[in-house]
Formats: sequence, C-alpha cells, structure tokens
Amino acid sequence: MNPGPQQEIADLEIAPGLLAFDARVGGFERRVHFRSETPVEPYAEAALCTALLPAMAGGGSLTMSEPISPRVLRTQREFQAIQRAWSLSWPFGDPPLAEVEVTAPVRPPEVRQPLGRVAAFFSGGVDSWSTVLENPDLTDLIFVRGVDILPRLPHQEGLADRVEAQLRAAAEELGLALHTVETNLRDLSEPTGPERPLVRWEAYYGCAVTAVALFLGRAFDRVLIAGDSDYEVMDTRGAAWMVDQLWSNENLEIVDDGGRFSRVERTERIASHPVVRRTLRVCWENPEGAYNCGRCRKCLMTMATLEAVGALREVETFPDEIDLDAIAEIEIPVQVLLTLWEDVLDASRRGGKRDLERAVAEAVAASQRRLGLPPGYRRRKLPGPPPSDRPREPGAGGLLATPETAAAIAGGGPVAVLVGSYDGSGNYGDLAQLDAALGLLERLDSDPLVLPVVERQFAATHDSMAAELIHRPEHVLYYDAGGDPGGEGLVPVEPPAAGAPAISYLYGGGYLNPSWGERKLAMLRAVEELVAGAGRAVRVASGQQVDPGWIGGLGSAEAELLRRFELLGARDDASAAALSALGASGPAPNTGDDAVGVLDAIGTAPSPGLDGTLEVNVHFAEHEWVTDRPDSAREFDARLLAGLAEIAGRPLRVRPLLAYLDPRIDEKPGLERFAAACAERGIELAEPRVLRPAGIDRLAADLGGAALTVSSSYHVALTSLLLAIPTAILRDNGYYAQKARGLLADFGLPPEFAPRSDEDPAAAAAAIAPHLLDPELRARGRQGLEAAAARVRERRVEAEATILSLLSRDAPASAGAAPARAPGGSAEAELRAAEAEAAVDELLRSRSWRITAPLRRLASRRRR
Amino acid sequence: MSTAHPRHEIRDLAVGPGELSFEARLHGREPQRIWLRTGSEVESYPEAALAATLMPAMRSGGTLTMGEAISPRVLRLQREFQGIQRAWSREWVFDDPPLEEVEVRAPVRPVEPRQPTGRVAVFFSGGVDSWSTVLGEEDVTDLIFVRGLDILPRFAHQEGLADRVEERLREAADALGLQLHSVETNVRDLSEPRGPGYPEIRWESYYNSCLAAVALFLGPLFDRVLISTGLAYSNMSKIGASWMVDQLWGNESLEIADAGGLLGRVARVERIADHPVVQRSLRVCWHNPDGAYNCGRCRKCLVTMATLEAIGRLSEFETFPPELGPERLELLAAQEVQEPLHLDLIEEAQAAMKRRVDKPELARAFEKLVANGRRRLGRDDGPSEAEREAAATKAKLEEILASRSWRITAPLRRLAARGSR
Repeated sequence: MNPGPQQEIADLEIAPGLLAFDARVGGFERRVHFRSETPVEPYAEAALCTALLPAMAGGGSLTMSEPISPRVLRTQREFQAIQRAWSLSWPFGDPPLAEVEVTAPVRPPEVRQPLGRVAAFFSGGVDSWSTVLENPDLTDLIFVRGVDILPRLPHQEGLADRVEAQLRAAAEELGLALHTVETNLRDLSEPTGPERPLVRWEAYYGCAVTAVALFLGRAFDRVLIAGDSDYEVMDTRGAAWMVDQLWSNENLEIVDDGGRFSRVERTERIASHPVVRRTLRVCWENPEGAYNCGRCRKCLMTMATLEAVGALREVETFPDEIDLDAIAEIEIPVQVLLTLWEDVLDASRRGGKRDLERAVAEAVAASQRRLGLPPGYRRRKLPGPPPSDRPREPGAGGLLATPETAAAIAGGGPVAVLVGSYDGSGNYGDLAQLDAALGLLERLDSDPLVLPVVERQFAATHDSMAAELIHRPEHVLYYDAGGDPGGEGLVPVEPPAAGAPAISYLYGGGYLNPSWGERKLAMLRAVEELVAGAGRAVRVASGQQVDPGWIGGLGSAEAELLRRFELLGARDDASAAALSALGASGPAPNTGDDAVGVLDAIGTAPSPGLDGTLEVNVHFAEHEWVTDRPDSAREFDARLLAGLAEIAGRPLRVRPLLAYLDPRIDEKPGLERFAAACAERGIELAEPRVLRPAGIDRLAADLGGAALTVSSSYHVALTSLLLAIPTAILRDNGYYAQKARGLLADFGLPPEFAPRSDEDPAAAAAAIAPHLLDPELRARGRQGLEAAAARVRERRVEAEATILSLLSRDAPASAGAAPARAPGGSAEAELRAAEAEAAVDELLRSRSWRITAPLRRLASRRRR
Repeated sequence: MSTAHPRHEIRDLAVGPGELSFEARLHGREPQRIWLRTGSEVESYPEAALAATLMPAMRSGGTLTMGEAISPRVLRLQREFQGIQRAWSREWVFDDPPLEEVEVRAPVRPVEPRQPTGRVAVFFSGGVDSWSTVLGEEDVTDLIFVRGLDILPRFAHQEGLADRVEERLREAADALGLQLHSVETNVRDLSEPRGPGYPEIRWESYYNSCLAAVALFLGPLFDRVLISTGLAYSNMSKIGASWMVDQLWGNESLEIADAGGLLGRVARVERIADHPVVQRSLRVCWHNPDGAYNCGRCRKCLVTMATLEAIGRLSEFETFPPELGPERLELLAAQEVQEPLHLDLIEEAQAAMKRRVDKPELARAFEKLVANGRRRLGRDDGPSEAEREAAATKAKLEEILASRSWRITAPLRRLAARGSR
C-alpha cells in the first residue's frame, strides 16, 4: 500500500441518469453527483475520472470498490504520469501533483455492437461549433451545468436556463439531440471555493468533461471534447495532446477535438453557417442578460476575429461595430490568450483590416511588454503576414527606392534600415553620425543590405553628400512625405520576403523634439511597415538627444513605436532619463554621440603656441534652431574674440569653420556678416574650412594649434573637444543648452564654456581667458580634455559592442576550435600550457571580454 | 520540380497470410514495392500501409489515395496524427522544411466488433526500453522483433547480426514463456530512398510510424501492441513516440499504446537488471563492429555499462565485457554527445549514480562526459576544472582571439594602447 494519504471513492450510486459518490480526497469529503434526464447507466469510471486529479494534489492511494474498465485502470497510470510531468512546469506556484496508486476491481471487457451515435460537448461558442460542423457523423450534443456556469455565482443566476434554451433551439435546427447534465464536481476540485482549489480549473476542466463523457458514455460510441488550442501552440495542461483518449474504455472512445485548427481558422469555418450566425454565443458576463455583451474580452476577441475574416456583420448575435479603442486597451493577462490575439493580428493583416490591425497590434505589443516578452515576440514558428500599408492619411509617407535597390530588398537577405539625423542635406554632424552608423553595421557578420533613409526632396543633394562619407552607402531609401507612388526612376519599396531578418537602427542626433520629431517618427513608421514582416526584427537606437517635454507628450501609438526598441541610447543624461521614462523593454543608457564612432580616428591636435598670434577656430551660424537672435549672436562672438585678444595682449586670428553647406542651406553668407563684425574689431579671418567626415584625418592639423574653438554647432564643438582644444558652445535656446550641458558634463568643462549671446561678452571673455592663457590652468585643462576624450571614446566602444551584441544575436555563433587533445606531459609543454592559461586568464579579465558578455550569453541561450 | 498539388498513391496492396505488400507511389519518386513478412499466420489490417506511407507523403503534402478499405477510426484519427506531426515538425532541429498535411482518400470498412484475443504484444529489440516494458506489463503474451529497422541488411557490418540477435531474443522469449514474432520489412526504403545519409523523413521522427505499421500488420493477433518510448514523460520532446501519439493508429479492435513514459532510463535499468534472462540477452549496441552483439565501446554500450556498474550488476551481464576498466572509462569520458536528448539521458544516469554509489573513477568519467557534452551543446559557458588541461587552454585562447566578442572590441584595445603610449 502506498504510504501517502488513503483516499477513497465510496457509496457509489449508479442508476439511469444518476451517478453519485462520496469522494474522500485531499482531506475533504464531498458527495459528488451527476444527473441527467437521459436514462443511461453511467460507467463507474466516471467517478475515478472525477476524483483522480484532486487526489493527486496529495498523492497516496485512491480506492474504489466498483469494478471499472480494465483499459481505464491501465491507462489512468499514464494519464497520471503525464499530468504529474506537466504539473512540474505549471505556472500556478502550486506544488507538483503526486501520483496516486489506484485500487479498483475490473469488470470483464464487454463487446458491444456500435451504436452509431457520436456526441460532442456544446456550449454554443466557437470551439464547440467548430467541432459540431467538422464532424458530420455527430448525432448528439451535451450541455453541462455546473462546469463553467455555476449556480453559486450571483451574476450567473438564471444564465444556465437561458443558455440551455438557446442551445436547445440551435440543436433542434441542426437536427441533433441535446443532453443536459448537471453536476457539482467543482465542489471536489474547489472544496473551499475557487480561491484555494485542490487542483486548478485550467488543469481540471479536461477531467470534468471527460467524467461527463463517461457518465453518458453508454449512449455513444464516441464523445468529442473541443479543445481551445491548436497543436502548434498547445499548452501542457487540460485537454492537450489527445490526453483525454486515455479515459476511453473498451466501448467508448473519448477524443480531444479541434487541434488541427487555430481559433481564427475555426471562426472562419463556422461563420458562414446560418445557425451559427443566429446563435453564436461566447459571452460569460452577460450584463443585464445580454446574449453577447460585445464589451468583454471574449466578445471583443470573437468580434475582432469575425471582423478580420469579414463576417462580423453577418453574425446577428454581436453588435455590428467594434470599439477599436477598447481593443487597443485590452489587457491580455496570460500567454495562452496572447497567442490567440497574435492570431487575430495575423488575420486582420490578411484581411486588410487596417484600423483593426492597428488596434490589435497595440494591444498585443502592450501585453507582450507586460508579460515580459521580448519585442517582436511571436509564439508561432512560421512568420505571419507582413503589416498592411497604412491608409494614406495626410502627412503619412512612404519609402521609395531605385528599382535596383527595390530588387536587392526583395532578394530576401537581411536588411538594416537607418533613420537618423542625416536627411540628405549637407550638415557635418548629421553626415558624421550616419557615417559612424554605417561603419558600425559594416562590422556585422550577417552582411545586411544597409539602407539609410533620406528625404526624397534632398535626393540630389544626397548624391553629392555621399561622396563626403568615409563609409559610402551603396543603397538608399527615399522618404516621400506625401506617399507619392514613385516616378523619376523611383519605385515604392515592398517589404522583404517574410522571414528575412531585419534591423531598424535609429542612429543619433537631436531630432526627437517638436521641430523634427514628428517627421522622423513618420519615417520610422514607414520603416516599421518594411521590417515588421521580418522573421526577426531588431530595433536599436543610439546617440539620441531628446526633448523630454515633447517625448512625454507623445500619443500612445508614437510612444509604442519607440518602446519597441531593444536599446534606446542617448547622448546626454537628460535624454537618457526621458527615454527611460518611456518604459521601453530595453535599456536607455547614455551611449554618447554616434559621431564619436568616426571621430575615433581624428588623432590629437598640436598644442597652441604660448605667444604670437592667438589662433581661434570659430563656427558661426545663424540657423533658427541655433538662435532666434542672430545679430546678437554675431556681436557676442565677435566681441568675445576681441575681449580675448585684449586680455591676451596678442593678435587673434579666426579660422572659420563651415558645418552646413549645400544648395539649400549655406553658412557662408552668415560667415561673411560675422567676418565684417570681426573686421570692425581688427580681427582677421582665414579661409573657411568645410568640415566633412571624408576629411577627418586632416582635422587635427587644420584645427590643432588653436587656443580655443567657439562653436554654434554641437558636432564642431565635439570634434574640437576630442582634439583636446578648449571649446565654447553657444546656448541661446533650450535645445542648445541641453547640448551644451551634455558636452560640459562629458568633458568636465566649467559653465563659462557655454555662454549665451545675451550675456556680457567681455565678462565671458574674462571667464574663459585664464583657461587659455594661464600656463598651469591651460596644461591642466588640456590634460583633463585628453582624459575626457579617451573616456568618451571608450564609452562609444562599449556602446558599439552592446549594439553589435544585439544586432548579431541571430548570427551564427562563433564556431571556435574544439579543444585539442592534451599534449604529452613534457616540461616544455607544461610551460606552454601555463603561459597559455595565463594569457586566457588575462583575456577573460579584460574589459573587451567583460563588455561583450551579453553577446556570449545571448549566443549561449540561442544554442540552448 | 514540385507541382501545386502532389499526388501520392498506395496501390496493388496485397494481403496474404503473413505478408502485406504494396506499391508506394510517392510524388516525385520512382514507385517502390514495400513489403512486410512474418512467419506468423496473420491477415494484416490494410491501414498498415497507410501508417508506413503517411509521413513520407507529408514531406510534400497533397493527396494520398488508397483503394483498400481501412478502419474508420484510423481514417479519422490519421488527420490528428498529421496535425500533431506538422506542428511538431516546425520545432524540429534538422533544418528540414516543416511537414505538410496530406488529404487521405480511402474507403472505410464496416466496423465489426471482435472478441478480445487476450493477447498483448510488445516490440522487442532486447534493449533496456523494451525489456522494461516486457517486465513491467503483466499481461504481455507476445514479443515482436523487426528486421529492417535498426538492423539493416544493407549494412555490411551488420551481416548476420539479425540472425544472431533473433536467436538470443527467441531464447529470451522462450525463457519468459512468450511467443516471439519476427517480422521482416523494407519499410525504411520509404523514408530513406537514397540511403540513410539522405533521409526524406528523419528516422527519429519516423520510427514510431514504422512500428505502428508493423503493429497493424500483426494486429489481428492482438488486443494491444505496446511501443516502448525512450524517454520519461518528464523529459519528452515533440518527436517520435511522445505523448501517446501512436494511440492514434489504433483501430476499433487493436489498441496501440506508447509505453514506458512512467520511468526514466536508470529506473528502467534497475527494473530489469536482476532478471537472469536480461543478463543473458541485453542488447543496446547499434554500431556492432564486426557484427558484435554489444561492442562495449560506443556511447550507448558504455553508458549502459556504467549504469549497470553503478547499481552493482555489470559483472552479472553476459552480453557486455565484465568490467569497466580504466581504458573504457577514458573512452566513456571522451564520447561525443551530439544530441540534447542523449545528454539528458547521460545526466539522468549521472544523477542516479551520485545517489546510489561511491565510485570516484566512474563519477569522474561521467563528470568529463557531461562537461564535454554540455560544452558541445552550448549548455555551459565556463570551463570546468577538468577542462583546464594544457591543450584545451590553448584552444580556448585561440577561440577567444577568433571570437566576435574580441573582434568587435578591437577599437577599445587600440584606444587603450594609444592611452598607454
């Protein structure tokens, strides 16, 4: 005898239409009954089926004295072992089930002529309707009271009667007999109420309906139980993997039905049946006696599915219109339900229901986040249909490309699409950031097709600007804000073949703000349409300067777009905090500015001379995003320089720098006005130097030797600081103040290096001058800048390693040589081994190895 | 070249006493004559042909037609079998495309209740799993040995092996008072028409269909036929004879059941190890060099021997070398574990061993075997003590230097070098 608890099924009463017994299991005693108007004598094993899982909550033994089917006595062992194995991974936090030794006499096997009757459990919902319509040999339906409609729940009062009346009407229309069974078996699985069940309903319901099947079993050859999942996504609990077959006896076959079809497929298959259209019922909430409330989660999912397959208006039992906002906000609490919603999303895409698709996509993405699933998670192995094109609303744009690029995308290989500050125009900083992003992606083993997105209107400028890059893109995508269908040698871009891996890289710059944010997010949306059908899409962002107010006020769809990113890197701490507050699943670290990736090669500038002409690099610009008082800015810079010359007592020469230069935006006229202002003060200007990434190797020589750089550009300032030249950056607005704060923090500069043009230029000169002229302060300052530049570069390398780790996640893991056999034990070999071991230790301790730990962890997880 | 709707056919099905043969016309292939033969007088269920042909047809989907009437239950449930296999195939690790469902078109025969025969058969290869089923199921009356599944006449090294194995198994069956049925078949030609190196359907996923076909071939003799699984329910994966999937091949008179999920491998070895007939006939080897019954040197032999050694029974087994000396322990430690499933089994054996005995040499060998397997299968990132041998260290160094981690951080080191200058 098993040493555990001794449990018992006693006083079993069997009569036509009645089975009752005392179940002494789990420390409780309950009289359980099944009753039906159908005068069939129940199989005694119905009692075993009812009591077994609750008994397994404590293990031990379970005895009954009525003879049962030999087959059931044999196969219940397998049923128990499967349930026990499954229970080890159930998410309820309960202890696993324990096997129970069942003792019961067996009855002699009966050989019975087939009755020609097949029954299915029928609740009037999608799953049971699908079973009814898919099995043409069905003759009977079974409705159970006390399983999911409980008399003890006040809101379900009278519900069972109403449901039964409706099901009876449907059964009559189908010409099938309806058998009603009433049971209190949940008193056994939940002896003290649903809060503290002996066994969870999710795991037990399969047993409950199987027990009813055995209760009515003598009337049928076969009873079908409609499961709620298909084989691909089936969970290991309840009526899964045909496990209920194990309760079949010698004359009754019990079958879990429906596993071949997903819920969407089932809905699609039943939706054209006239009786279904008049009677389909999925609602359990039934407020005020509503047939289907149209508002609960189950109603909304069924309605969304019907809408996706184009049948909602034909089904009379639901409202004609769905509340899309309610769908977008729906909370999907468990993964099993999430899978069903992922299927609804696929169906809405297949059906071209764009508004529905958007709402469902929002709900799915939010729930995936809540459930801690990675962005882009998908339960099914095969990719779903790509997202549909969005309706062309005003302002919605699309991506165009040359036919060659479009063909390359369609080729099906991996793609990497880049949205960032560069839009095709000639701004040094934007070019440098793109260049760094292109250089980074070049290092990917997967060799994706790299596609920077530029504005279509700047296509011609881009052609000349591309030559100014170190890493020149072979292909480019053009964003057309009006959703133009093409022309001028450009064609709309079709998404790559479903399943191709894709990267969406939002490289850096200062555009997530009221001036450019909306436009960049529109571009990003267009990119999303391109990558969303990918087998795996990785989204990373780096080097962002973010306007916290703007990003905090984003609509839910826009915020959602950014939350999809697995990394949201910022270039200053305020931006990092704003991105963190978005609540994305990935981290939002300070990655520094992306341009550091190309400026790494800039070298170190020679120190300025201690006497003679005071050389100063000046970038002066009148752009409206830099200052709203260009005259004041011009005067400030000129007077600042004059003040410095005066304090130094040395002639001053300006080396003007141009950062923005293309047919549309030209800094030269502004520079000429600045030159005039300088000339008034006796300051001479050299020939201007145009900054471009392609000429970066000459920058140290060209900018070096300067005592100071005065800049109206973030990237001119950054370049200068990386060369360890003291640099002042004008902060005439909040946008530039944020830039300045970031640079000052990164390079340890005092606040006087971020003046405003409405300040006193003489005072500003007096504050800055000692840093340039005092030999000790100057030397210390230079040392500090060199150290800071090294830190900024290091941070960039770490950021690049993180980005590459994420982007390389699905690439083949480094093969690595298999360890060779140990050599012989000679002293020389031992010495070599010791040296190698020391070298390995050193490598494993190195920063290179430590910072790439995420890469290896991911590779290792992928292999598992 | 594939067409939109592949057509497959089972034709010229011949059922005679002790023989079933048919022509399998699978899409894109030459017709193949498939046969099953046995000395027992039995008139096969024709659905045996369907069980053998269905998975190979699922490689391309389409329709599969047969003219002979089959069991209504089988016709109904083969759809579920297909649905399950198709879903599982999406998770298989072979890089093959997923299976496609096939529409099976066949007439059905009238259902005739049959008096129970009182006979229950088990597939019997003489290995741990089938022995465990034979000894664990009290009502077993018959054993089935199949030639042409794991012992193939086309393998030169297995020449004569089937005869020797059958002889031992027959002795075992006689000793147990059970009847042995020997079946010979070429059904594996269906899954591997170009040889085992080029399977259309992997043997791991197909073998249970073959056994179901043989069960249906002999089915009229029995009430129930048991197929032994390799894994316990707690370890089961979505392939082969898992989760009782073979139940779906049972017809109105024959129950087919997957057996063994109740116990793990070590518990099975414990169940059988004291039986004198097992000690005379246990066979686990698939390598059979020079026709050896158990080579005593392959992974399967060595792990079985180690498990027997751990429970103190190895010396009582006649079909293995009597001891696991230093050379074999070294061989055990050096085995390559290529399948996650094998590693699971080995780790289970290791855990059981730790619970039962204090045999440090055995424990060390298992430690190395498991460590190697874990590393090979990517379950372990860090080198263990045992791996810190000279050559392995050097290999590790080379591996690091060649790794992506090291390459992508090259700028960091350049920077550091610049800083130190």
